[in-house]
Amino acid sequence: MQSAEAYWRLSDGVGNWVFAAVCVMIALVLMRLILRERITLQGSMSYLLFLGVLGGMVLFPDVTGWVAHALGFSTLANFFFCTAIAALTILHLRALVTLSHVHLRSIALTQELAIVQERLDRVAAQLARAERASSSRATEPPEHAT
Amino acid sequence: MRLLVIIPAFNEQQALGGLLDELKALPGPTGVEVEVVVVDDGSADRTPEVARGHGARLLRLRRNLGIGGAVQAGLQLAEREGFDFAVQIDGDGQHPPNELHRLLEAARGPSAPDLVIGTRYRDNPSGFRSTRLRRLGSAWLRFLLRAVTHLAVSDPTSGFRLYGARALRMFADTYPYDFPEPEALAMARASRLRIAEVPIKMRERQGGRSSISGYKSVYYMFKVTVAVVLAYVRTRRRARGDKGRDAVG
Repeated sequence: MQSAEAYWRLSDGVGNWVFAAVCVMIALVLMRLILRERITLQGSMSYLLFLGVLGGMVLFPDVTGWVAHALGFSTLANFFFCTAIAALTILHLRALVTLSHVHLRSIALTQELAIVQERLDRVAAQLARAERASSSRATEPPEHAT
Repeated sequence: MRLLVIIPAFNEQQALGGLLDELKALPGPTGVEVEVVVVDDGSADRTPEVARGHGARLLRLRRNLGIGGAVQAGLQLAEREGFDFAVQIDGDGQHPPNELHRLLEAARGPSAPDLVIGTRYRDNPSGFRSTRLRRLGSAWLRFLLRAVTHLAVSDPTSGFRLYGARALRMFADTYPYDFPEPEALAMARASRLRIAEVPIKMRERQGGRSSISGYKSVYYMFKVTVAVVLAYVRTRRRARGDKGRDAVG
C-alpha cells in the first residue's frame, strides 16, 4: 500500500531534478535561438512560460499536489499530463493563428509585388522608348531653313 | 468600355503561345478595349518569356500561390486600373478564346449579371465530355451549392468566367485560394451578386498537366465541401455586418 505522500509524488527526488534540468536545457536552446534571431522573443514568450510552469511543477510537488487535489485529480501524474496537453494545445492553436496570418500576408505581398513590378517595367519601357525617340531626334541633321 | 483578360498560368509554356495568338487574332468586340494579362504563378519553365514574347502584360508572382492567388492578382490589377470587366481564361488552352464574346454578350445583356460562367455541360455545343470522376465530382458540387446556397449552376468548376464591376470589387478584396471556383460561387451568392451561365465549347487541354489528379481529387472534394459551407456563412455574416453598419451610418 502506497503512503499518501508517495502517491502525490511525481517520481523520486532525482527524477524531478532531471526533468527540471531538461526544461532548463530546452529553455536555454530557446534563448539561443532568440539571440540568433531565428525566432522572436514575442513569439516564444508563451513557450518560455510553459517551460517555466512545467519546471515549477516538478520542483515544487507539494504545491502542485495541493492544486491537483483541489481540482479533483487523484494522481499527480494525471494532473501533470493534462496540464501539459492543454498547454501544448493552446500553444499549437496560437502558432496556427500566427502562421495563417503570416501566410495570408505573404500572399497579399506577393500579389502586391507582382503588380508594382509590372507597373515599374511598363514605366521603364516607356522611358526607354522616350529616350530612344529623343536621341534619334538629336542625331537627325537639322532641317534647312527655306 | 475596357475588358481585361486574365490568364493564370503555371508551367504552361506549351499552350500559352497559341492561346495568346488566338486572343490577338480575335476581332475586337465593338466598343470594347481588350487587354491581356498573364499571371505567372511561379512557373519553373519559360512561361514568362512566352507571355512577354507574345506581347501580353505579365504579372510575375515570386512564388506559387495556386490558381486562386493568381486570379486574385489579375482581378486586383483590373480593379485598380478601372477595367469594367475581367475575364478569366485557363492558360492550358481548354477555353477557346472565340467563345469570349458569348460571355461578354451575356454581361451586356438586359439582365446585366455580375458574374457570367461559361458552362460546358448545358446544351454542350462541342460534345465535350470530361472524365467520369470529374463528372461525379461536378454532380456533388452542384448538389452542394444548391443545398447550401440555393444556387443552380450546371458547371460549378468552370474556370471560364466574366466578372462585372461588382464582382471585380468583391473578389479583388477577398478571393478563395486552393480550389476556388465553387467557393467563389458560394461567396457570390451570399453577397447577392447576379450570376448567369452561358453554354460554351470546351476543348482538350493544349499542353501541360492537370493539377487535380489521383489522391488530390479526394482532398479536393473534402476541402471544397467544407470551404463552400464556410464561405457562404462567412460572406453572409460579412454582408449583414456591412448592411448593419450602413444603417447605423
